[in-house]
Amino acid sequence: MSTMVDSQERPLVPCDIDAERRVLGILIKHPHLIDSVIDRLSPSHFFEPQHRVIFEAIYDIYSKGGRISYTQVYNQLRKSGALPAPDEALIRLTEAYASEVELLPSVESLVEKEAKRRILRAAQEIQKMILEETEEKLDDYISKAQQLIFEATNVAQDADEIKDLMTVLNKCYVRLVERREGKKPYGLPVRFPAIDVMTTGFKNKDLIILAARPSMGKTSLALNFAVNVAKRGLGVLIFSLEMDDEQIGDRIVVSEFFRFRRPDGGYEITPMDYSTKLNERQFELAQSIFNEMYDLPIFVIDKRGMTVNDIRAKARKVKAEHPNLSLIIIDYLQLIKPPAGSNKNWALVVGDIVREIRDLAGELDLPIILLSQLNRSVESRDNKKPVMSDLRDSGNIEEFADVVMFLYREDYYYPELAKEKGTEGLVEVIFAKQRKGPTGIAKLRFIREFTRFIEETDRPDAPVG
Amino acid sequence: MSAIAGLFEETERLKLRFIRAYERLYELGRISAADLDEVIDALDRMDELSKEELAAKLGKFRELDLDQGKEEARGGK
Repeated sequence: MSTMVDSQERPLVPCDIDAERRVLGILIKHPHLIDSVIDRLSPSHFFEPQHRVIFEAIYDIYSKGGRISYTQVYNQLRKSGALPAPDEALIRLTEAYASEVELLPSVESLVEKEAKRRILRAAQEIQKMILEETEEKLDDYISKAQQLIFEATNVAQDADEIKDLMTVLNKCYVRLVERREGKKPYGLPVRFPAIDVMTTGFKNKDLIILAARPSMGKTSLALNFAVNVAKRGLGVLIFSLEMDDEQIGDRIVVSEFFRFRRPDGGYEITPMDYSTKLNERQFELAQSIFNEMYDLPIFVIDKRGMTVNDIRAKARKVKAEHPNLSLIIIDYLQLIKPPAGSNKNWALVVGDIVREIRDLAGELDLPIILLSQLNRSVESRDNKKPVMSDLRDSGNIEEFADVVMFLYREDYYYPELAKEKGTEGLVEVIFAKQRKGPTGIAKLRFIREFTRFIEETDRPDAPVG
Repeated sequence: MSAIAGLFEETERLKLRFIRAYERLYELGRISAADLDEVIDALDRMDELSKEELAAKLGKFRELDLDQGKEEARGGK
């Protein structure tokens, strides 16, 4: 029976007092059933204060391995003095149930009512926050409200934390069959074979750090990933804290012009043409790219000064509206605004930000690629290939990341040497850390004017056709 | 609820009332805390004790001068 208690002392709240009595009565009479429900119950599941006290007494005896009976619970309550008339409260319980089969439905009812009470409390907190005008910006209200609702709705899902091996292996087997049938890859491929071979696809819940010195091509590579993923119909969300939406759109379009290569090695349409006036033929080609790109499920949020809370709130919203969202790209870490009033030093702040973004990847069950700058220390040494320690001044990035990728281009530092060696545009994607895969180097080629990465085997100076 | 199940509940209610009565004696200072614990333990393990064992454990309180308790209770009114 569902009850809405209505009295002057208590507000109208969802509760099921009869179910509370049934659960307590059954647990005392059939203590062997406690193990089957104890992980789902806590004192907060009991709305009636007397019931909460009795449950605490039962739990206390249970945790100490004691014998549970009406007599022992009475003795416990008597000694603690927590209830004025424990005999009367316990006698009421003996009359509350008919059979032990009522236990599970009654526990379900308590869990449901408690979840509703939590949501109600969150709603009340949101109401209070708005009426008392505790925040400055609308975005802060939205972020806090989402946080409160998320916390209120996320607790009830802990019941399946303990999984037996059969359950775990069943999941693995289903995934194995799906991969074999080509239905679902192990991870999310970004359609650069050299990278996909290294990663076997980016895994859900993983935080991938893509770090490099400025102008190495971080954003370009991330956008190439985004387009490749979106071309398979999978949603991609891009947080751009530096470039605006138009710049991103232009880059996405321009990177596709690379395919219009003429037999003489030139291009039908170049980025320069695109930024000036196109002839009829070029305009048609550009239109064909726009038509191709219009339907791609890429979502762009271009806003400077975003905090992790802002990012989290917006990511949750997009995921709720587009359940097939499969990848988030954040460009880039050092532009994320620290929370207001934080006294921590920068390294600790960055560590917190990275940890929270990794948690977001877990919550939304998708990979997040977080772009990051590298320390200047790279510039001052002879070997300019980035190493893990180049991240170290920026909090615990390497600790929280599941994958750390660095970009290195020899032609960036030694253009003449690269020309001589024919390594112009050659990019080393250095996998410095992979929790679920090997470390090593994947090679790509960066066509800088098109902001386009290609496989090393697809180099533009290769024979056409 | 079946008759046997109902009997269990009735027994539990009786035990609780019984313990409450002894607790009252303890509050009046007629029995010690250890005595009360012994009663509670005996009632809790009633099923494990023979009739004789139970009688021995609870019977020791027969010697109590319960009339004195009544007088005290009256005097307290």
